[in-house]
Amino acid sequence: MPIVVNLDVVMAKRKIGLTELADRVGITPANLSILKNGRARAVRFSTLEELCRILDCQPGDLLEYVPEKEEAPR
Amino acid sequence: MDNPQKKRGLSNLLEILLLIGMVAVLAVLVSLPWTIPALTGQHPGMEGNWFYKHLTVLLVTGILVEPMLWQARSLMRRVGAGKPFGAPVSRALRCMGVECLLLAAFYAVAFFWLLRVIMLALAAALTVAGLMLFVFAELMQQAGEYKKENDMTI
Repeated sequence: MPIVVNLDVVMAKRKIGLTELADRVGITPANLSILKNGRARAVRFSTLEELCRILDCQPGDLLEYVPEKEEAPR
Repeated sequence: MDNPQKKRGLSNLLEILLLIGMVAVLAVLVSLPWTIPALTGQHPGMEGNWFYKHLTVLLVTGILVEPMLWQARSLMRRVGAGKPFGAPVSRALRCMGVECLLLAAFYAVAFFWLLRVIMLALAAALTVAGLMLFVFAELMQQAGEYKKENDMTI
C-alpha cells in the first residue's frame, strides 16, 4: 500500500506503549494495532488529530507516501 | 434515541413467533388428510379429485413456506446478535426470494388445475415479494461492505 504508517517509530521515540496511547486517544488497542500495522483502510481526522496532539508530532511524521515500484519496460 | 435493548427484544419476540409459525405449519401439513375433508367436505375418490388437488396445493405451499420461516428465524437471530448486514443475511434473503418465486410459479401453474382466480393473485403477489427479497439481499450485501469499510476506518 503506498501510504506507510510510521506510528511505531514515533511511539518508540516518545516511549509510549500501545495500550496507553490507545487509552489516551480514545480507541481500542486492537484498532490502534490495526493502524500501526498498516492494515487500516482509512483514518479519521479526529483520530489523526488526537495522535498528533498526544505524540506531539505532525501528520507527516505518522504517514508517509511511498510510490509502488513500476515494472521496468521490456 | 433508538434503544438497542428494545430492538433485540423485538427480534427475539419475532424469532419466537416464527418458531411457533413453523410448528403450526408442520402440524397443519401433517393433519391435511383429515382437515381437508373436515373443512371442504371433499374426500379421496370423490368426483373431480378436489381432495387430491387441495392436498397437493397445500402440501407444496407448506413445503416451501417452512424453509422460508426457518430462514426468517435465522435472520432474526442475526439481527438480535447485532449482525444484521453482510453475506450470510444476503444469502438467506436470496434463498427466501427463490422460494417465493418457486411458490409463485407453482400457483401460476395450479391456476389451470384448480381454476381459482386467487391462485393468480397469489402468484403475482409472491413474484413481487420474491423480487423485492432479491433487492433487499443486494442492499444487505452492500451494507455489509460499507460496514466492513467503516470498521477498518480508525
